[in-house]
Amino acid sequence: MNSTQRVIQALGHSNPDRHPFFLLLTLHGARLLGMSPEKYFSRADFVADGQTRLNERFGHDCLYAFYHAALEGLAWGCPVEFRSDGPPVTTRPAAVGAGAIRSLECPSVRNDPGLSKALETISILKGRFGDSVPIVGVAISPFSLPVMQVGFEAYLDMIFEDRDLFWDLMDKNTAYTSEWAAAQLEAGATAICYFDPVASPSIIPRETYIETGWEVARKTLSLIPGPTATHMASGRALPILDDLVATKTAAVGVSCLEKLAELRARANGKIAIIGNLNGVEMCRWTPAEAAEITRRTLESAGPAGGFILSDNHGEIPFHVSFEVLDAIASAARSFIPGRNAGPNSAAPSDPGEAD
Amino acid sequence: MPDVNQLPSAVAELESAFVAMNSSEAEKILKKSMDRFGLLKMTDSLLAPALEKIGEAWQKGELSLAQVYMSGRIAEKITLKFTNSIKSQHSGHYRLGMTVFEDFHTLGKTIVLSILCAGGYPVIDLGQGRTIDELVSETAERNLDALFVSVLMHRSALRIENLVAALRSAGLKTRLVVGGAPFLFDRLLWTRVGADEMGANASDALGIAARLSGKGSSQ
Repeated sequence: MNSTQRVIQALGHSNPDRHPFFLLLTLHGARLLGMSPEKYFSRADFVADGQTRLNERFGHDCLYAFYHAALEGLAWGCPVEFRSDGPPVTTRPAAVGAGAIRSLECPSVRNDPGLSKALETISILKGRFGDSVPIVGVAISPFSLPVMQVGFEAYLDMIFEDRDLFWDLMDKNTAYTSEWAAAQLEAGATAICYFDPVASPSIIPRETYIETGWEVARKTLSLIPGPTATHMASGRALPILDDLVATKTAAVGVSCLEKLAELRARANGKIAIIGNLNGVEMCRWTPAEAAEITRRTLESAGPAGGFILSDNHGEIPFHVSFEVLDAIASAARSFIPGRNAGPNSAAPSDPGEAD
Repeated sequence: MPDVNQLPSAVAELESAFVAMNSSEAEKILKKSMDRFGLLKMTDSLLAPALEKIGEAWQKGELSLAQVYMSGRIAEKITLKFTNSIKSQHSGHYRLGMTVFEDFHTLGKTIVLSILCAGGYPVIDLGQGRTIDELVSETAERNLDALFVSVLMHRSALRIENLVAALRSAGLKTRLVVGGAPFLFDRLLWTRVGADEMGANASDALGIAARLSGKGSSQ
């Protein structure tokens, strides 16, 4: 079974040979190639080479075409600052004030230098790997993009105090995001990770989400001509799991703050679960700890099918060592559900739980 | 003599008003308390406990960050309306600063500033994206007793260790209080980077400010 077959079986809630695992790595590619982040992201083939080498080293079940969140912010007009030891960040909103927000114009997906570079990376990876390893593209949801476009505080004020302006912005964002996602699929991406942290009840009350982000998700996802997974980027998902199912997304990226067993039970074959290793804590794990936590997480995930092991944020921090990643990969590859029970096999401990 | 024992039930009512983002109801509850018990008692026994409960509820996953943000915003607006400016209701002239360190995600700072101001602690806003050299300079010039630092990016959280070292090398004894997502996902991180205190939610800032300034717990 190759990675694509394994992932398709998992998303289809069938019976893959083992749980697939995704190491959602970005800057580690730069490290492998001995480049600064700024240099690494300056060329499509550098990122493609980084993902290729990462896949060769760890044998995980995806290629991750995600550059960084600021790529989309930059396309919308946010200034960006690069760092030598972390992802680039946007330093200011693109638009301040209702007038500027109404005047925001959608970037041209094909002509934007950053977005078109990412499309080229996808094409290169498709040429190298064909259909053997899924290529995951990323699109920030129309509902979460305004955090960069207008600033988080201004966005929350907009959601609660100026719904007309909110919907005006959502119309533009929906057109943009669906075009961006479609372009990635056309370039060779297998599926789109729909990043939607603002949807999480960690950020917004469920009742507000239903009136706003849920409607946006239903519309946007219906316009994307391919499979999607919605990612909460460390935010909780359990209270809105049924709502996410109703958006027809195939999977959800879940937080280490919630119990995997509970998520799996609630998902009940209706939506696949992706998660939920704690990427921040991962920075201080020893390889032995990483292997043990990986094993316990896979145990708590239950039978194969409907689950993909991953970190809980959708991007593993730059400071996680290669040795820890090797240990996670090794543990994930060797774990066969039902055959690797630990000491408490009747009631596996769920490491994905906050204190 | 007004019965301060009535305040605990008012805390629950105020909390509900904040969570529902009902600004007028919150103002009514706070004004009633202020008229009966005075500004300081209202702040310490009603406003602060209500905000702390909201922070705890967020931490448990019972409330959203948006509700914490709006609660802080409403509380700050009402307090400013009552007082025209945030005078320190807590004597001792303990000087507090707040910043986002090498990071530009400002929501956490905004929430903590609102809550501290509403709680009667004037805070100097040192802005965002500040570097180590800038913060050492500002801390010294403003003679800060405590610096509250908010970060969202993991890389910025790790660099706080360098900030602490720079402050101590400069001979500054300023207490460093940290908060933000990286510290929630790794509960040992704040000790490893050498911070003095960590806020698990924005409302923790009130208790920390009270403790550091020698006023004890605000509860």
